[in-house]
Amino acid sequence: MRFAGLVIGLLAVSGCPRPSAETPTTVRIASVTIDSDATLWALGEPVRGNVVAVSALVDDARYSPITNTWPASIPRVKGTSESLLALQPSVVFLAEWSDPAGRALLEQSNIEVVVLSGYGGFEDYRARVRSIAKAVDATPRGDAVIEAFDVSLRAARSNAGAGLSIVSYANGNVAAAGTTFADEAEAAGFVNLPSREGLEGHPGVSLEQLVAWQPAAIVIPCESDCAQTEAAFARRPGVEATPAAKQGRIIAIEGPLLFATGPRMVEVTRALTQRIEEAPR
Amino acid sequence: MKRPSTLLAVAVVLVVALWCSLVLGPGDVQHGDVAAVLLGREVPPLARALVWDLRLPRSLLAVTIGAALGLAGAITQGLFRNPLAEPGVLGVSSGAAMAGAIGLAAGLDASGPWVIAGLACLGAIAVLLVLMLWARADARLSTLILCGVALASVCGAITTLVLSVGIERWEIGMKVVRWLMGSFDGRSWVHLSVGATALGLGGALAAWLRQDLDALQLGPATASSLGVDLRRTWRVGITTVGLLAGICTALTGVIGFVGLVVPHIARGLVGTGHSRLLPAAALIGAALMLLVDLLTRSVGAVALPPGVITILLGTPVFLVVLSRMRAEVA
Amino acid sequence: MTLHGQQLGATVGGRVLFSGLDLEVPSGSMSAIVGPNGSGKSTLIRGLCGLGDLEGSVSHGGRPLHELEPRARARAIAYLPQQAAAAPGMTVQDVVMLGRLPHRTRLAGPSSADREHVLQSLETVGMQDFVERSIQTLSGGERQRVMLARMLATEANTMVLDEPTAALDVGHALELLGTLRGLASAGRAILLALHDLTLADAYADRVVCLTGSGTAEVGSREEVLDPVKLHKVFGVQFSRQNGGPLRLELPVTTR
Repeated sequence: MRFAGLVIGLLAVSGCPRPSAETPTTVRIASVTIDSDATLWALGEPVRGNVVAVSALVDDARYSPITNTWPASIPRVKGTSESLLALQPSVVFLAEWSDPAGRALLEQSNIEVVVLSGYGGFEDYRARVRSIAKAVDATPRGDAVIEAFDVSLRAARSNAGAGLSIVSYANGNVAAAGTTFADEAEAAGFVNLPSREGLEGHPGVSLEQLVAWQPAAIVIPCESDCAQTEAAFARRPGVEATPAAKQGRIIAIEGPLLFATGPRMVEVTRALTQRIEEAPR
Repeated sequence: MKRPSTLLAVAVVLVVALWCSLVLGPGDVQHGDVAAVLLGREVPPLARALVWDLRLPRSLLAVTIGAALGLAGAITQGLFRNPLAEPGVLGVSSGAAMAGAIGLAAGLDASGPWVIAGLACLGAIAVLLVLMLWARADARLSTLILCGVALASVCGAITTLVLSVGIERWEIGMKVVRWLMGSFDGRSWVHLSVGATALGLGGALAAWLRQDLDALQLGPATASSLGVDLRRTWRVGITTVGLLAGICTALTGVIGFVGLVVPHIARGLVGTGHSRLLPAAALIGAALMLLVDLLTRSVGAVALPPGVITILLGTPVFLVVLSRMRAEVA
Repeated sequence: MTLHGQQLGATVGGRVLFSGLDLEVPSGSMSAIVGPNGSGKSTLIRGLCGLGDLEGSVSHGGRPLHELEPRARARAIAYLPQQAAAAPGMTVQDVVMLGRLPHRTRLAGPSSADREHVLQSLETVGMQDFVERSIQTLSGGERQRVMLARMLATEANTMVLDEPTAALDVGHALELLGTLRGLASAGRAILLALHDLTLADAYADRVVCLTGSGTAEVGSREEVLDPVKLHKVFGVQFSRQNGGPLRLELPVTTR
C-alpha cells in the first residue's frame, strides 16, 4: 500500500507517467546537501548505487561527517546548477534554504524535488531520514538508520549535567528552544538556559545578558585551538564572574561538530558528558 | 559663543545618560551598587562584573566613539569646506570596513586588536587620498558627494567579495558579518584604551589644525595667503580623520551620519570657529552616541547594531540640511 | 617696504602670457594691473603674493619671498582673491579675526590685542557697527569692505587685490577705491588688478599693462594708458586731452 502511494505521489509530482521508475537502473538520485549525502550513504545498497551526484562539500572535513566516503567517480555538484541538470537526475534533495529559482527549474524539468526542512534537533533529524528514505523507496532501511541513531543516543544519554544550567554562545547568538544544542544539552542532563528563559531559535544576546544569567556552563565553538579559545573567552569582560568560568565549565567544541545536524549530534552529548565528568565539581 | 546654556544641558544629559547606562540592564543592579563599584567598595561579584567589567567600558566606549565621530565629521567638513561631507557619506568608513574585513578574513585578528584597527585606518586614509585628488581639482558639493558614493560602492563591492569568498568558511563569514554590523556589546577596557588613545591623538591633531580649518573657511587661496601650508594641512587633516574614522569602524563597525549631524548641531550652538566647534562636536557626539547605545540596549534581549539607529535618526536630519542649503542657495 | 619683481614671466599651456617683466610697488603708492581677459593678471597677482609659480624672482623689503616663512610672508603681504569666499554662518568678526592668524602661535586663541586690531580695522573701513552680523546678510559693497578689514588686520604693509570692484556697482567701486587710495597715502603699498581702465587711470600712480600677447608694459599711468597703445591691446577707442583723465569713446551704435 505504501509503495502504491509513493508511486501515485511520484506521478503527481512529476506530472507525467514514468513507467521505468520501478527499475533501479533508471532511478537517478542527486544530493546537494551534506545532510542528504550522509543519509543516502547510511541507507546502503541499492540506494548508494543510484546516486549520481553528491554535494561539493561532502569531502570537506569541517562540515561533512563522511569525508572520502563517496567514490571519487561520483560528481560533486554545487547548488542547482546546469551541471546538475546535465546528470539527468530523477530525484533531487535540496535544503529549505536552496535557491528557489534553481528549484523551480528542476521542477519544470519534471524532476522530483525533495526539500529537506527542519534542522532543529533529534526529532527533526529522524523526520529528515524518514523523508529521504521514503523518496528513494527505502523506508525500512531508513527506519534502521533511525534505530541505529537512537541506540547510540541511548548509550550517550547521561545525567552528567545534573540539572546545571548551560548556554551555547556563538558569534553573539545563543541556541534556545528548538535547536540541536537544546536537545544535545538536555540529553547530557543539562537545563538549556535560553530555552528556560522562553527564547526560541538562535536569538542574538548581549554578553551582559549572558553574564547576568549566571550560567553554570558555557559552550562556545572553536576552530582548532580549542583550549586557547576557552581561555580567551574566559578573559572576555564579565565572564570570569560566571559560575561557568569559576568551575572551569567553559567548553569549546569544534564548530562543525557543534553545528552538526545529523548523527554527530550524539557526539556533542558525549563531549559535554565527558567534560563534566573530567572537570572537578 | 551663541548658546552656552544649551551646551551645558548637553553635558548634563551626558552625565545622566552615563549613570542610567550603568544602572539599567539585565541582572539585579541598584543605584547603591553602582555607587559602591565606582567608589571601589565591596559589592557582590555579579554586580561588579556587570557594572565595572561590562557596562562602564561599554558606555565609556560609546562616549569615546561618539566624540571621535563628531570630531572627525567637523574636521572633514572643514577640510572639504562642505557641510555635507562626513566619513560615512564620503565612503571613508566603507574603506575602513573593507580593509578590516579583508584583515579578518585573512585571520590577522589573531595577532592582536591593533592589527584590524590599523588596517581600518589605512583603508580610511586610502579613500581620503582618492577624494583629495579629485576634490582639489573641483571641490563642488555634488562632485565630492558623488565621488564618495562611488568609492563607498567600490569598497562595499570588495567587502561583499570578501564575504562571498568567506562564505565557504562559515565561521569566518559569520565573524566578518558580526564585525561589519558593529556593536558596543562585550567591549572591554582594552577596546576602550584603543579608542581613547585614538581620540586623544585625534584631539591633539585637531587642536593643531583648528586655525588652519578656520582659515580654510575663506577658501584655499586666502588661507594660503594667511600663512596656511595647504599641503601640510591636508596631510595632517586626512591622517586625523583616517585615524578617528578607522579606529571607530574597527571597534564598533560602521556608524554613519553621526559625523554629519553632530557638527551641524554644534555650529548652531557655538558658531563656525573651530576652537569651539571641535570640542562642542565631540561633546554632542558623545552624548548622542551614548543615548543611541542606551536605546539599543533597552529594546530587549536582542542586540541591535548602533549603526542602524544612527542611520534611521540621521537620514531625516541629512534631508533637512539638504533642503535648507537649497533654500540658502535660492 | 617695497614689493619687487624681477624678470617675471608666466607660460600657460605653451603660451607665453608675459615675460621679462620688472616691477616695483613701493610704500605709499597704488599700482594697477590692467589687461584683457586671459592676459595673466591673476597669475601675476598670485605670484607676487608668493602663492603661485612665476618665472623670475619676487622680493619684499629686500628679502626673496621664498625665503620667508609662510606666516612671516602673510604678515608682509595681504591678498584678496577675485571671488573671496566665506563659509555660511560666519560673522563679520569671525572673518576679520582670521586676519590676525599670522600673528598668533598655533595653539593660542585670540588675545585682547587681536580683538582691538579687529575693531580698528573695521573702523577704518566704516564697518564697526556690523561686528556680530552674519556675513551672508551683507550687501556686496559691505562684504568687500569686511574683506578689506580682514586684510588690514594682518597689518601687512603691502596689500594685493584681484579685481576687488568686479562685483560692485559704480558707487561702491568708487568708495572702495577711495578707501584704498587713502590707505596708500597713509603709507601702504597697494597693488590691484582692475578691469576698468578709466578707474585705473583715476586712482593708480603706476600701471602695469599685460597685453596678452607675451609682452607687458610698466610705467606711469600717462605712459601706459596711452590711447594709441590701448587701442592696439583692447581694440577700443580711448581719448585723453592735455594730461586730463582717460575717456572711453563709445562706438556709435546703429539702433
